[in-house]
Amino acid sequence: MARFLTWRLASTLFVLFGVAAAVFTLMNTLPGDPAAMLVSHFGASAKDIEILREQLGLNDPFPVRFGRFLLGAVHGDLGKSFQQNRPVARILLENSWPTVQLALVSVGLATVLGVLAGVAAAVRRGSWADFLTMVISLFGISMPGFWLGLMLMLVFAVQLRWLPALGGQGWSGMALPALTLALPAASTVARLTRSSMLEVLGEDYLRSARAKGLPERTVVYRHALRNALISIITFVGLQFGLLLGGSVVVESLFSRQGLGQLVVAAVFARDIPIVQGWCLVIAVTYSLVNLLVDLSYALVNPRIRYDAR
Amino acid sequence: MPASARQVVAAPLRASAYPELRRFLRHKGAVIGSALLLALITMAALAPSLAPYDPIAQDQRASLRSPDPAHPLGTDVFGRDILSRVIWGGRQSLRVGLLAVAVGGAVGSLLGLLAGYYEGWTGTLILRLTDLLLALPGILLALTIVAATGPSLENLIIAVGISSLPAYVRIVNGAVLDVKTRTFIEATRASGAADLRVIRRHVLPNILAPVIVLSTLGLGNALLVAATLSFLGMGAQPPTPEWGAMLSQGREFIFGYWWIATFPGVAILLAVIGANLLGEGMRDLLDPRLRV
Repeated sequence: MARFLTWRLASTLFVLFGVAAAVFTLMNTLPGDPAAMLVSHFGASAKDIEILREQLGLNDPFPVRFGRFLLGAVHGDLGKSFQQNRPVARILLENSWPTVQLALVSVGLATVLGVLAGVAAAVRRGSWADFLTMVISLFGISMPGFWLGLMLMLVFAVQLRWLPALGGQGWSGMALPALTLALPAASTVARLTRSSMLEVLGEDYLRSARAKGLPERTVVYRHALRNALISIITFVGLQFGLLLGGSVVVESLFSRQGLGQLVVAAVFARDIPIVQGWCLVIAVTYSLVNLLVDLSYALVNPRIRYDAR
Repeated sequence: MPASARQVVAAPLRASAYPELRRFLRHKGAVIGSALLLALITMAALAPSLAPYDPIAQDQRASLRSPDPAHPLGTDVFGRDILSRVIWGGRQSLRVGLLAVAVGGAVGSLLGLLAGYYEGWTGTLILRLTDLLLALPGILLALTIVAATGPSLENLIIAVGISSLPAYVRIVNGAVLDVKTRTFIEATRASGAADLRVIRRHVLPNILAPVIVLSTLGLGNALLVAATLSFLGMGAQPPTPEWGAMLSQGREFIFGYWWIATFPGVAILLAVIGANLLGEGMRDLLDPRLRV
């Protein structure tokens, strides 16, 4: 286990270094001078812009700038936002809680809904419930998330007036964005759960479990689902990444504070430090989630041992 | 998977000129999916003669009309006919989706092929660089690339294409590694055939199935990512009709004007359902073991 862990951590670090290098290069070879864009409203002269470039450190050679960026990043310093003139790390932190909250609620909702629907469909294979689950989930995976959000808004905010459409606070404000993110994810989880359950349900040990008189519920949830969980966990891990991505859209759609809305605004304002810092934070989060997913295999399925060679 | 396997086994072994076509036609999902896609592509191709109105010309007197016989899907704030814009929008949306898949599939498969055929440092380099692309969720990778290159449909195609690369690289790489160990390849190489010939004659035909399956399944995802970025303003620029971009106007007018936000989304939904059904069908028929 220790050996596997060291190897995984090393490769994760390598990937993160690569991401930092790639993002930094990409953002710094852009056409368009960020210094000029910053002060363009004030009618700044070429000389003013030059001074600003010097202050922002934009005139230093590329390796120096990258080194400075990397060194800072390791210490949690992601530079200063061009627009807000405040540390990027603090801005990201301020905006991350609403996004994390949204992602957690959505992942939870998606997992519960998806697993329940998937198990129900697999157990009653070929029935109308199975068919319905598959059709609904096909729509779920084929729908653009933001359009689903718009439709939910139309029904629950505009027609029924049960929930606020934009910028609501607390649980009522959370409901529509969370549903928008959760329904497509739940559809994928449902399809995956169904197919993994179908694979497991034919196994001999389930026949044995039934033969010794265990109630069907125990057979399905204790014995079958537990073995089907491996691929489901992988997927929920991957879904978490998708949800972080989806948050960009959903937050813009519902005018909800968070990392997603922050970065979309930063993209349009060419606030490079924010986009850069956000990329790194997402990459770190995503890599860690994937690492946790790998490790959780061993917990769920004792047959997997990473040090067995 | 088991369902399709059973169908295949149950199918009587009939001597037929086109057994593949027969199997395809028997697969309901594949047929419905390809019919949907074909219908939408035809609609987009015939846009000049199908669309009742000019998709760009503004008409302030007809602003924000609800659906009626003159404008079956209503009009937007500039008085443009939504039906015409949906029909024309298919040109942009479907073109972006298809080209993105072509870019991602071609480059990704080539990289996967190289990585698999030339193991050693070439292969390692390609695979490690692919890992970098996987460090960001697909849509965020595409977003970052568009952020760097600027919003336009061309950049959107490249961004969506690049974000789909890793899947092709990995799957093709695996397939090539698998094929390479077979005896017939060894024999061909031993007889002195050049690498290019071995790849073209023996490796390519063997990796075709997973690539076809991946690219049809990937089309749905490409359409979704492209629509999403366009919705955020990072794809088609006004007044170009494009499904995702049309929806961002729909959001502004969600109170009172439901039709603007509804119909372009239905178009996207139909296209993606078509791609997903066809993709799942292709997987069942060509490569049932493939897990994407």
